[in-house]
Amino acid sequence: MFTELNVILGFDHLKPPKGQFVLISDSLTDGSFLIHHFLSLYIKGGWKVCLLALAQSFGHYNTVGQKLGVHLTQAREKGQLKFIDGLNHSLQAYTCTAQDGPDENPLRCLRDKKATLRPLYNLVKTHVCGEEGVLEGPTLLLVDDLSLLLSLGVPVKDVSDFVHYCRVLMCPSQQSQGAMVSLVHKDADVEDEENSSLFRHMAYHSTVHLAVEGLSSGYSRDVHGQVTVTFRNVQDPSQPQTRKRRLQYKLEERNVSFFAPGTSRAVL
Amino acid sequence: MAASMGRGRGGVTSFQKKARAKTLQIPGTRPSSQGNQLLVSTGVPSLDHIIGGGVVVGTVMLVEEDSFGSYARLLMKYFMAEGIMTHHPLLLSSAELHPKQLLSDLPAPVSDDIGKAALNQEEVSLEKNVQKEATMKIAWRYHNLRTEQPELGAFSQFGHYYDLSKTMSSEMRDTAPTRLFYLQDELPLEKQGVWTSITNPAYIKLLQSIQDVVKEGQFDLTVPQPKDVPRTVLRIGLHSLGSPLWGEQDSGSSHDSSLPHFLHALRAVLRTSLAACLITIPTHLFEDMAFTRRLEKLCDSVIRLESFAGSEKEQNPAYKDYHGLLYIKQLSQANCLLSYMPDCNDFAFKLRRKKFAVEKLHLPPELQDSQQREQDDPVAALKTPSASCFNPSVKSKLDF
Repeated sequence: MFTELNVILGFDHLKPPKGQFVLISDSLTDGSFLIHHFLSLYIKGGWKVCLLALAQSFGHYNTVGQKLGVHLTQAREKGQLKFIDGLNHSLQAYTCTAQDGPDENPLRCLRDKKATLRPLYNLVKTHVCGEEGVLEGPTLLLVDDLSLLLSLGVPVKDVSDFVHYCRVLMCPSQQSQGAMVSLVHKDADVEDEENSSLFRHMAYHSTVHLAVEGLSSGYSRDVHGQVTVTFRNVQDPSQPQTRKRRLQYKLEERNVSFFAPGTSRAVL
Repeated sequence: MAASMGRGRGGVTSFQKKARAKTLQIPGTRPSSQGNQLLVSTGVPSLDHIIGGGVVVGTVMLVEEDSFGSYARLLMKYFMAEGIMTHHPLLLSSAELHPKQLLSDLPAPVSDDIGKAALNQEEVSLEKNVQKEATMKIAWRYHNLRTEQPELGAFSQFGHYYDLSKTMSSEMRDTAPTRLFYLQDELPLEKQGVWTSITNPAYIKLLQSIQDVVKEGQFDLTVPQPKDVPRTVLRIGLHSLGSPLWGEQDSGSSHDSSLPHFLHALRAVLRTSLAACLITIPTHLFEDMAFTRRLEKLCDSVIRLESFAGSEKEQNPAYKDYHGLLYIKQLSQANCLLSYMPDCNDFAFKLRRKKFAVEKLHLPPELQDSQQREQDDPVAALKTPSASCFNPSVKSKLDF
């Protein structure tokens, strides 16, 4: 959890905000440090978290989480964290043969063109909801990351349907109990139509958008990139619709330091 | 539900175990500077140095091939030779040339006596230089330094030195258990019904054989091992994956998800195994840059080789000492918040008669006093506009 980022976002670390749909997009760099930030923020805030991990294994999140001060194995045992191992499901989908029994794999759309992401949505729903099928208590759904589903061959329409269903489940309005954070890749130098159309769908629905990119002046060891935070105000039409803040960041072993552009310690 | 909860208490990933068993000593590896991860050498000490020490065990390193593939093949040979020297089992796959051909042409290691003798010779010549320049009056602080460009990280200990002019003997080669996967031997690939219409069966076969080797050789970290069995690291080399011989249609359009799915499943296998993988892909054959980018995101470390052979850069006097450029596109971020950050991103490689080395790119000094015409200036010709974060240094007259 990066305290400077919390201050900028206006997220209280003791009571993380509800009803937020946070979109993280990265261009030519890796924005996954923000996933770790939100994961540790919401776990420390006492929320129930469902982590749909397609990019990395549990050990990765656990190791980084320990550096940031959260104990993910403990949270998983207590039931606060529900981990969906996307890597494992994808491997099983890849190596199963036709002789195996009826498919229970939530990612069976990867091998069956007729299936959509509905089994995955059902799995998320069982983890997140209680018996009645509604959210019990504040819950966060964290998806890492959606562009990987596109790379694996899922059509854009299916992915955006999945995101829509999840958003309606978690945070249909600002007052709902849940929140959702997801990551999309949006590289500026290649023309990836699927990724950009998925990004546009998500940006339309998001309440906070964090765009991570490298510095326009090139690679630097002291400033690793910049984050542009865009707040979308959907409630009050009289106020300006979007508000933007720009920050530069530097990754360190156990923390990420954020600072205003031009005020890096290496420069001042 | 049970499957989605992971493997429960028994499901320990590779990196958790290393945290507890601090004495997981495997010959030929060393701990990384970032956290408790193991590194294996690529076989080229200068390359190890710039990627942060070596290839992280449990990750995939992608080498994007140069146009003729020769330097990528050389890197694969170094990787395999290093495995033989450190007694790591090997798994090598290839589609165009038989893996046995690749393995028959590995560089021979420089034996310790010869290595030390070479070092002694260098020291002797250095002393002579020092004596000659002992009378440096103005730049006297510098006369103890070597006069030529030092190689990066030349004195690391877990890498070995090789002599390209000699081939490794077959006795030495046979000491390491090797598994080969030659695509032509596996044909015809058995039909798997609907599945093969979606994805390339060649990749499925390859992944199955990788899984088999991991299980048989006991590299799987989810299975507890008896204490007295010495553990070792499996080196997987996948040469020229994604070439047309593997069945890549449409020159790799972003609609074909066979290779990305293979890489994703490979990552799932490697994260829970004591294995390190080096893949070379001829990405210059892919028309769609977006497809290449997707492949890069699915691998942990990515470097790209660009050789000067046959291009106009061969005649460029700025590059006369080198044979090609090396770009670091991505470095492994597995189990850490940040990857290794190199000082700069301008590297070039050269292939001398006996070895292959990677160095920082230094442009020759401009010795002419008079102002040259813009067209003749080789330095100005190196301007390549690029919007990426890893920008090669743009030289303009305003820089100093």
